[in-house]
Amino acid sequence: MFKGGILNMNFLIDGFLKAIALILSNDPYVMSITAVSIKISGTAVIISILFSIPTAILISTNKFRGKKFIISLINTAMSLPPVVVGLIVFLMLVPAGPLGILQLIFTPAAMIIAQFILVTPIITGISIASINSVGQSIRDTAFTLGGTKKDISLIILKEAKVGIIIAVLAGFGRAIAEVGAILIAGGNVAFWDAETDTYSSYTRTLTTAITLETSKGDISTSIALGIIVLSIALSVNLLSNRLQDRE
Amino acid sequence: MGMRLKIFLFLLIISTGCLSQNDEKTLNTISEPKEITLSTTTSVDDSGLLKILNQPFEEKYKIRIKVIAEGTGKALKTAELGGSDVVIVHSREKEDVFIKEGFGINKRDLMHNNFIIVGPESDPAGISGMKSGSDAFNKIANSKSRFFSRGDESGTHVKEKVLWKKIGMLNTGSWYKSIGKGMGDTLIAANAQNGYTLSDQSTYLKMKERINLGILVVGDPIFYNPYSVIAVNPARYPDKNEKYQMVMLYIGYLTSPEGQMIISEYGKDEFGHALFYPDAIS
Amino acid sequence: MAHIFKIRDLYKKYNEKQVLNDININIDVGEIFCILGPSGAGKTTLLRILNSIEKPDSGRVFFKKTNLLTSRGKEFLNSRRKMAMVFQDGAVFNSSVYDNVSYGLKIRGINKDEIRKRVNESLKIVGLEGYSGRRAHTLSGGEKQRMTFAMTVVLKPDVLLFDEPTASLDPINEKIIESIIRRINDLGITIIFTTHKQEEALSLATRIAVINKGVFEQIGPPEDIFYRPNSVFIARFVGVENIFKGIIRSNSIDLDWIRLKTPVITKKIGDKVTVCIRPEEIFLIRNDATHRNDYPNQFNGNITRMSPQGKALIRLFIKVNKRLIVKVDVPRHVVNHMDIEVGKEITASINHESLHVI
Repeated sequence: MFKGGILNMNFLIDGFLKAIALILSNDPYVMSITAVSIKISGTAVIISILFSIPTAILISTNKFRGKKFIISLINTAMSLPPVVVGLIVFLMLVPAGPLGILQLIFTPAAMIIAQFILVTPIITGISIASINSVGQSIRDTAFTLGGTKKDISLIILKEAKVGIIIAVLAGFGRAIAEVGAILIAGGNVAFWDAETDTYSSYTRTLTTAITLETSKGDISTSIALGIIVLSIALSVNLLSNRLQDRE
Repeated sequence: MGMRLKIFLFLLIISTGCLSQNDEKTLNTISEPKEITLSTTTSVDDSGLLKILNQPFEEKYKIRIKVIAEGTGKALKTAELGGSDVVIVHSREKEDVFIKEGFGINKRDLMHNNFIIVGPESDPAGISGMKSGSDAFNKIANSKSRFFSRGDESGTHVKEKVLWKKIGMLNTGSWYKSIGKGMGDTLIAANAQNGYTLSDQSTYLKMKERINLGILVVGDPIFYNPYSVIAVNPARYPDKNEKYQMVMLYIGYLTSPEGQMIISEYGKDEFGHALFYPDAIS
Repeated sequence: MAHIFKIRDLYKKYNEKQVLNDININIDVGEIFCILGPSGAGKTTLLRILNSIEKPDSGRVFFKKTNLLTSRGKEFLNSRRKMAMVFQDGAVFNSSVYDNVSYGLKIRGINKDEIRKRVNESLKIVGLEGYSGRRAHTLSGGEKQRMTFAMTVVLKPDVLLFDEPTASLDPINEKIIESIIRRINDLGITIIFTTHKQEEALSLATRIAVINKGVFEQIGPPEDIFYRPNSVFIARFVGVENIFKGIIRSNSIDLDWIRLKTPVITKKIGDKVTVCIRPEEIFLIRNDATHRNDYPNQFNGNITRMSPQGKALIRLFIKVNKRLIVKVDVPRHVVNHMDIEVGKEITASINHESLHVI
């Protein structure tokens, strides 16, 4: 590996080609990891949407004491260090911890909880900004045309729709790319599947698998996983950019 | 319309991913299939031994073994907090504390291998062939040759600290690099920067093809690296009684002639050399 | 005349500033009522209070028989839905012109066919036929403004409120909007609009209320405001360029550079007054004019400057003594005929009907 410049390139190219082969052959191990990644992050985002969007509407359309404080709290929470969140979830969910009775440690559910905590401030915060940017004049227009409170909320949602979708994509992008929280809370577990004679992921995601495979020196698998997670992150970003242009 | 369609497809893919894995493995938290959680060190997991070792047990008893691979310190801590039901670690001092404090019971010697000092071909400290680990460490320190430490309270790291303490070394200096990583990563780092490191035999053998470090010092009894398996004390977590039964089955299996035979054979095909030596006296 | 709005004792303060100060007016059904004043005078606030978007600090607002400030629930909603406002920087929804214009009808639960019919009618009134399918954001400034009109007209309300309807428009679009407003009024809808442009007030309104610093200084038909302003502020605001201080004598007003023979006025001898003379109401006298001496209130002066005043008039700046300049607006053809140029001496006459004394 460290034998000289030219060989360095060879090893990278070699690893890259093996990676493509893994992806194209639908390698079961890699596919199971991809499925778990999408499932965990997707579920976390979907559950977060159910909480974040109504909360965002409530916060931005109402006046109340401490509103500015809550909004800055949400914005600060957007940069919660994932490892810290993972640690907290771990300590909560171990049997010795307050929620230990749920027996959720080292399960996909624990990872979903950790990612939910990470993406909710993002989705909520960006949605609030979108709804706020809808502007008083839209609300005034809806009001003067005879809208009830419900009518006005609906039109605000409709006008902020694109911004909210961007918020969701940002949340998903964060979730799919993170590793610290789910590593600690999920344990990076894969089970041996006797039927298919390969490992199958239980709580192993693209990112946690990369840490593992890299530390084992398995470069081609790492590269394959890296290509997949980059592709997902890239498509999410491209979609988000296209939407922003339309705004 | 085109945009709405794209968004719909995107959400469809995600929800399909979510729903497709509908088998036991991913949806269980309430209706548990039989399962025990083993927390162990990265060196044990990375060696690939567990895959071969656990399979026959899982098939025979239909009990799934969930392996959480961490550093020794974390593995024991996880067990202490109830996150796992059984541990396999290699750090006598920490194991003693673990049992003394009542977290673990029914410890068994499982297997052992040896630590080795590995380093670059150029061997700047000139330790190749030495028989004493502490003398070799002395030479490395005196020549201020680059040394890579796992720095993660793992069994390997603890053994390394024992050696430094033995020669009264305070480990300061930019030649000593504590990187807080697993054995594989540490070997890769040492390899990249032509440095020395203390490694366990099995990880080194596994990684040999990918790195350019050679075994320089081997055989000192202080390098003896024993692994134990310890059950987590069910008295601390009463609703784990059922797990405890399964763990005892597992320990029984590991220390049985069958389990021990698998351990002694592992690695011979692939590396020409066993990675571990069985120790159990059943 | 029935009143559609009755406003009593209205007060509103923003951050220490008294934006509306004791406002009392009645607005009649079917009139085009203009609130004229400079920016920051309180015009927009008043309109927003009438539309129930904001609440005053105290006072009463009656819309037909309902007190808008105490009304609740369905009664309030029904009253609200009988009027609509077009804002100065009106926002449009991010969808088609049709969706924008039909919004108010959709939320009232009107059926689809009726909606389509009314939307088409309204687009016709504002001159946006065929624009239904266009995306609202692609419209030009003037088109967007007209669309916001259509959004309100389509509701067939009793009252429409326009806040500075031509503020951001070029003169051509200004004229278009003004004719649309007249068309809407012809349908029987009462119009209340605000503006700072005196020509607009003059050309559109049936009644004007001049507002300054939160107070209505004068309310009346356009001729009153323009030719008989109550105060120097109003005079200046409506374009009276010649405002002079004078003293009442036994039969005239002494302006120091001229003694004006005036009509009857209820002032005592010795009273200090202000005289307003509109620049277009002063006439030049040709040197060779017959019966020169018949012209009243003559004065001489030297033309120091000439500048165009709109398309048809030229403004002459005539120096009558060391300090004072009188401004006279003269049609172009007269300037040419009389060979008028800077530096020339000129004689002019002021009709005593053209005088207004404050």
